[in-house]
Amino acid sequence: MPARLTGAIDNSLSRWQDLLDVIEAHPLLWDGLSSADLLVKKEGRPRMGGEWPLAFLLYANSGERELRRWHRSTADELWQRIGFAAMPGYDATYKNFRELEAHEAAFRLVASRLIQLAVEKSGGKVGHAVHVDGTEAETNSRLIHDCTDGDACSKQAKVPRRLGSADARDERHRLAEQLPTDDVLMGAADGVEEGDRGLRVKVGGCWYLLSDDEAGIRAYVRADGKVRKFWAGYYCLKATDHYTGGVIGAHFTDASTQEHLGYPALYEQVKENIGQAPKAVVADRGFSISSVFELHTRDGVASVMPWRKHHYELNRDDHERFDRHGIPRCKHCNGETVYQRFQHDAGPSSRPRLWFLCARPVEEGCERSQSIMCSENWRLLLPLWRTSPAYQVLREKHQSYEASHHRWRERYAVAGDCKADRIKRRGLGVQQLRASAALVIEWLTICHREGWLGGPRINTRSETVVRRGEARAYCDRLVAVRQALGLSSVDSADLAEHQAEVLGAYGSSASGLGPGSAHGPGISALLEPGAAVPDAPTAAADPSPTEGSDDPPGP
Amino acid sequence: MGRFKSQHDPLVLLAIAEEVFRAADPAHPERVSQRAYDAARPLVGHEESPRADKLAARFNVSWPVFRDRVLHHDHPAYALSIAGKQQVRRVLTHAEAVAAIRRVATYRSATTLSVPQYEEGRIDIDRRASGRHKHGAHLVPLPQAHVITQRFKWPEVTLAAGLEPATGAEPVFPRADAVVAFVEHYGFRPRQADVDWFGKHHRIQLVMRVRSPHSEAVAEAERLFVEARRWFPPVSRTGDRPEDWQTLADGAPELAALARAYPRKRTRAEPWTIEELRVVIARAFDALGPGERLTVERYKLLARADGFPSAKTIIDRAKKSETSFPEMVRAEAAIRARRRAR
Repeated sequence: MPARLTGAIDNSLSRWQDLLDVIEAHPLLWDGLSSADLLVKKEGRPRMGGEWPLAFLLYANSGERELRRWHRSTADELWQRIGFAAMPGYDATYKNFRELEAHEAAFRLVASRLIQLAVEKSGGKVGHAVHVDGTEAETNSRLIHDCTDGDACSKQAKVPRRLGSADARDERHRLAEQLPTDDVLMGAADGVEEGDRGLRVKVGGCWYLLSDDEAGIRAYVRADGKVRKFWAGYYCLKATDHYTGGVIGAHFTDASTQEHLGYPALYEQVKENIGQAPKAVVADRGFSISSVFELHTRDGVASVMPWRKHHYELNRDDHERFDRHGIPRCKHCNGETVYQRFQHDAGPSSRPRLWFLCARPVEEGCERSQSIMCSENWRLLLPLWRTSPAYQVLREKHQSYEASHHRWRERYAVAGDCKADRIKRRGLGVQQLRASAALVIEWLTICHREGWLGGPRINTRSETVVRRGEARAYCDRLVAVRQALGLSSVDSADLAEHQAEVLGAYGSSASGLGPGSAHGPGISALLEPGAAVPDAPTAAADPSPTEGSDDPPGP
Repeated sequence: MGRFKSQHDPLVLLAIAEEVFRAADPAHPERVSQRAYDAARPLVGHEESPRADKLAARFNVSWPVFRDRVLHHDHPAYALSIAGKQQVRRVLTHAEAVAAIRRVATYRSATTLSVPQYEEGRIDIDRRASGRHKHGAHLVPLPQAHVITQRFKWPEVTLAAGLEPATGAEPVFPRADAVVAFVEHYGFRPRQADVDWFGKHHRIQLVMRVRSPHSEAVAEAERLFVEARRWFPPVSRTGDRPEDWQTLADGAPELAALARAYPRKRTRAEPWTIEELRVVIARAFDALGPGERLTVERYKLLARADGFPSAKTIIDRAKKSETSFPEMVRAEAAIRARRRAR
């Protein structure tokens, strides 16, 4: 059962003096992250002595969004401790920080050393399960009317109103409900062009120029065509460790790219940082795409994601060899089965395969082990079954890991979602560099607090493990839904009759059985044909399973 | 000052319920049924308070649990809220019952299934399933027979499951066959009282008289004899019979085999003796598989299969003899160990 270490990510290195103390105490960890390694100058005046990467770490740790303001606030003492003779000028700082954007991987390398140290010291608990989620990051840019004489712009240009990140988030969640697509997301924009001066986008008959040509764009035009909103920026994909709550990988893409298309790069980064593949990845519906499931299963990684409609599978149907929750049926008696083992490189063709046993053997053939290729349905046939307590616990706890977005905004100014929060320099590089620096500080903090760097343990809180009863309670909800649907105990020919009878028994609140039934209050919505299925509930608010949860779906 | 008093306030409802319980049966309020509760409401002036079934539904618990928490807990509302969360209430649908019966019938390779046979198969399937794998936390046990029979009629569900209607649970010897056996061993046509004596003396369970009239049984036996081209004796008078005819067939192996196949039920006047039960325990030991231990659960399965007296019979009789089932089993095991040592 996945455990949780609370208090590991408390911010105990927020002062730059404390951060430098820890950094200076462990010089070996910073191998490859010095100015001499990264910022090689082939011509001109020699570069000023001092460690610019460390200066950037201190800048990121300050949480300051604007370089000039941070530069002004620094003292000579800070610069002298990192090897500078005196405080460098703003221009030099700006230029050297900009050059570091090309060496963002060096920061990740240091972060991976720290993370792998944590994996080793925690006995493999760090990096065991990873929560993946995306958040908006605004760019510091606006639209400029850019119609030329040849564009036949007859009306006075009205710059589209900027859309807030909260609205953009709603839009992103709405899109996650719909069928997935690999197309570029540009909302209602009529056209997009990349030119020498930046990105040009056509909205409502006019061309506009966006000075950040690496940012993605979304334009929203209402039906009447009058109110136009615009949003430009990036997506920040984060992978958060289940055990400590620390971010284990962060990857930026432009906002026009679908989340699941940016995910493979994040997944590779996570594997590099941990030193191996995690055991389970938990994500929301935006990533619930067959290609993501396949990526995980081929690596032997369990996917914990809610159901999402797909072009090939609009409804969550039962199949001949397995049901809608991915539980294979016994080949001999067509009964329910239980997990036996999984191998991600089985057979000569190295394909993922599941082995299972008939749950209640009644015929001679039922006694033997049976198997099924996961490629029959990547989204349903998973290494970690949906009926297992570990799966349900991970799914339930996923929501709390979204706090990492807020924490990184507050502490390190990563992925700012409003004008006050966003980084003032434009471009994808600075966003990614800031995230990688934050990754280093985050894991330095965790290792320092837990004593994994060799010092005493500062974190006073202890590890918490989900009790077996609580885990069973999460499972029971899915079991109850499977009973209601008849997946666990009814022959497939009698499913309709069974569901009608359950609906008749629990559908009416007048019977006194409705809300008190073991199937939960959502049972009517689940079984009534064409009924709207409510959205995924939280465990505390509503124990009834729904389509978005796990994952009980419409019939 | 106090809580707002309303009929829907759970504390008020529970206070009223306790009052009604004690009014319904002052000596034993913990035995009050739903019907008695409903009838007692006007006695304490709460005729408009909710009915018993509504109360149980309101707190999402069974009636015995509701009664227990109201009468015996310091904080009934809290105790009921806990119990309500633990309570798992679900319907058993017809399709589920049919599927369970089909599964057990397939397991037993049977075309017909009685209630005890179902129960035996169900226990066996679930026991084997629970011992076979460790990833089955989500599995729901097959419904118990009494849960099925509470909602559905057994013959109807078995018929829906595609099985033939089940016959009686205990094997009984047809009276026509009993007449045939009687004629072959004693040589004369029996009267009804003679057939009854035959069953009782040789401890063979016959079909009840009301179900198989003596005249029909004799006619059937005569038909069997005629078809086999054998002579069937006419009606005999008392004087025509041998004087010691009742001892003629004692010790006949065919009748002993019949007694084993159709064991006669014991009446209250024929209780099992402790010595007889020790013999039964010894026979149960013989029926055990290699490496198996004789527990009460295993004995219950053997008793159904081999026609032994019920486990309850042994436990009750052992208690009267100041011993117990485990002690009897240990004694038999010790005897066998000594025998092997020799």
